[in-house]
Amino acid sequence: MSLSNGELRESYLIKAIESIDQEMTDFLFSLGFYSGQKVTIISKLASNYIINVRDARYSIDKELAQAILV
Amino acid sequence: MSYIDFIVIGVIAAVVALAIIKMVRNKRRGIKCSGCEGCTKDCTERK
Amino acid sequence: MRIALTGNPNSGKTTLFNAITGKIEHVGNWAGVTVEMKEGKVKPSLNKSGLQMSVVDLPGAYSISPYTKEESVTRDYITNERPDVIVNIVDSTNLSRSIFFTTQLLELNIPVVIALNKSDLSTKKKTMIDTELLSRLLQCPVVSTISTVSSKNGLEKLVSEAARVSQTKDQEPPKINFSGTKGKKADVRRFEFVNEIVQMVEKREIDSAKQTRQDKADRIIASPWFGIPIFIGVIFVVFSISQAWVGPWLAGILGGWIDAFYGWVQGLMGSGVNPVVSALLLDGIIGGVGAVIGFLPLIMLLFFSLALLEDCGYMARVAVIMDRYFKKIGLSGRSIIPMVIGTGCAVPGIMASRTIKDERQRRTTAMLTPFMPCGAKLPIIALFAGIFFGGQGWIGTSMYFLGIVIIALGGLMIRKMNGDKSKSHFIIELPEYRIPSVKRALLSVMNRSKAFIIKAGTIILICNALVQLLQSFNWQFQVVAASAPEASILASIATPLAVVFIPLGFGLWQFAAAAVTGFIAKENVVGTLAVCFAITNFINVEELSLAGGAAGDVSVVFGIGAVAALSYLVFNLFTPPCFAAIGAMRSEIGSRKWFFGAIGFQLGMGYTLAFLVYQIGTLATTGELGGGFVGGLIAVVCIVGIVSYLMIRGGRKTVAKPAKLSI
Repeated sequence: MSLSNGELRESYLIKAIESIDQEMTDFLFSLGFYSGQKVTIISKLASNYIINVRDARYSIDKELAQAILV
Repeated sequence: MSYIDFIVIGVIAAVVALAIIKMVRNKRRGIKCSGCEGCTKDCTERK
Repeated sequence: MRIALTGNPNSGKTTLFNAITGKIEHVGNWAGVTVEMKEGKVKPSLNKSGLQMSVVDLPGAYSISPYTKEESVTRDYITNERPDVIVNIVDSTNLSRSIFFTTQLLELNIPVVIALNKSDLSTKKKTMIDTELLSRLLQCPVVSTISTVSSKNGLEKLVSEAARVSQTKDQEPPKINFSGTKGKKADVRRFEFVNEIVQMVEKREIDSAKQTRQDKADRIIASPWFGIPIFIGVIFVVFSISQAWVGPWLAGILGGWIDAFYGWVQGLMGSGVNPVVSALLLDGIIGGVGAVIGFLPLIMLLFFSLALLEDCGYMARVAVIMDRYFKKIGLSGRSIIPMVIGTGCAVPGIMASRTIKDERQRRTTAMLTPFMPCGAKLPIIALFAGIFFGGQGWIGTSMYFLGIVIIALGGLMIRKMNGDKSKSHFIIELPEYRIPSVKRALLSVMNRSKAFIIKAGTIILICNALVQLLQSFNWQFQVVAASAPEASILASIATPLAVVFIPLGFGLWQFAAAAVTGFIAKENVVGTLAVCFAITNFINVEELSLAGGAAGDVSVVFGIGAVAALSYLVFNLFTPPCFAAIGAMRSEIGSRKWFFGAIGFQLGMGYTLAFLVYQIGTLATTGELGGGFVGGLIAVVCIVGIVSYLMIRGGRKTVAKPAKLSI
């Protein structure tokens, strides 16, 4: 499923990142978004998701959350 | 024109000259706006 | 020897740079404040080695492979310039992400020293880091630092370690078991290696994935419902402090001193001086510069408040709030960062647009950023708010948000013109909130005030003197009678231009002249008006009108009403910026077509907005249309026509680009 369907305060393991361009995938990779990495949904604020990856908080938009498969 | 006129003109000329010197010096250092060094200070990337 | 500072965005590189060199570069508690490298010398008090040491501050990067333009600055510098030592600044609250970059740096064969920065924050969060073990595992020295405090901050040790390792050159990169993997697969191994290290050296009592008070706060501050009202409230408070509550009071005191100085010089010269010469000194130089300097307290307060806001981590949340709206116009929340920086000065704001990866978004941001009311435009706002609107904080606030609305509209139009339908993805790191440092805010204010004063004393002074001379003489170089200033050179140059402004409500040559000198520097608008109308002190006049005494004296002298004043304010804020900012726009946009399009767009925007404000305002207040309506309407219809044509043409292009990245 995609991260956008994830539950609040739940942790997931990233399976894949799909349907976005290579640059974005590369950038996410350098932040530590790779398959096997744990990601936790901290809050959902309308179209933005606040997530925790490798001890850092990020705000991502819904499109990006949909592209992250967990 | 009296002597005091020349004194005042001299003061004006000095002030303007100082301003111009400062501006020219800033230009040489690559500063875009006189005084503000926020964007160009030691900028090594400029073309 | 040269030390390069590298590290993740928002790990505190520039704060550390400032602490080591004693310089005052702009810092903020969010990613991407530094977009160019900066060089400085190590303070002698920290440098005990006797070596010549200089430090280079580089933009933040997450990895050696570049993903944004400013990240490639970092990589190119390290690989091409080969600094003697790399100081890798590691955010100690975020070891697991930072060390990834560290391991890459260690493989470059340049000695590395790790500065474990923000160690006060990690201690507070009860995260223990075994620095000795970390040092052993990575085979490089690790120094705990707190660059936000001035003593016991570990910087001296950091500098001496850097000096020491530069001599040894026997560092070896950690042995990561890549076992034949390459590219991403190898970097996954690298991540795994980092995980092992972090597991060994870091003891966290609080799991970072747990909800904190800050997360609760974020749910309100960045929420879809409260986010915008809170943002408006914050900006209103900022402008009210600057322009209504504290600013005018301080400015009144300063204005009194300027008046006293004016009077003192006047008394010193006596009455025997040639009137043209004395007017040049008194009204041109002292009056014109004084009128601009008089606004210094307001500017200092604004910059102080904005520095606190940036320092506390709020601005990253603003980017999140704005992303929802900006996405609809083809920009992303990332574009808000240049715009917020542009509130100080448009030039660094435009330069910060470099952090946007997508070319169209970057160009659009560079051409829209000058619509934010910058520090130089603040005196114009304060002047007209003070004289015509009783110095209310909401004038500045509404100009700030009008700027944002215009940026949104402009972004939408540009998007349509380009026929762009691409979607953008948005990710931004949310830094932790922290109590902003008053000391740092004060330092930043002192730096900017100094710049403001120097600017007033150089370019503004010369412009004012020229304006005074041009309005004192006619083309035959005869002195113009005080009763007939229309005969002056300045008036004859500005009058034809003023005709164009009749539909906007300010078809007076003085205003036209001020708008033109405003392109040299926006402060000139105030200076030129002061010189043309021979008013030295705008601040105390404003206090008079507030007190209801000689109410609106200046507004009578100006010869325009409040509606026209608002129109003039709008025109000056939303036309092309000063030359320096135009130059920055040109270099960031990097395309002639786009650049001239941007200037034309800004001119059209300013003219149309001022026309609408004046004509609608006049219609609403007097029931009649303002002067020159037909002529103005034709011009505005032409502008709107051209823009619509370009938008329709762009719509036909419909290039369906793939989704683009924006970080």
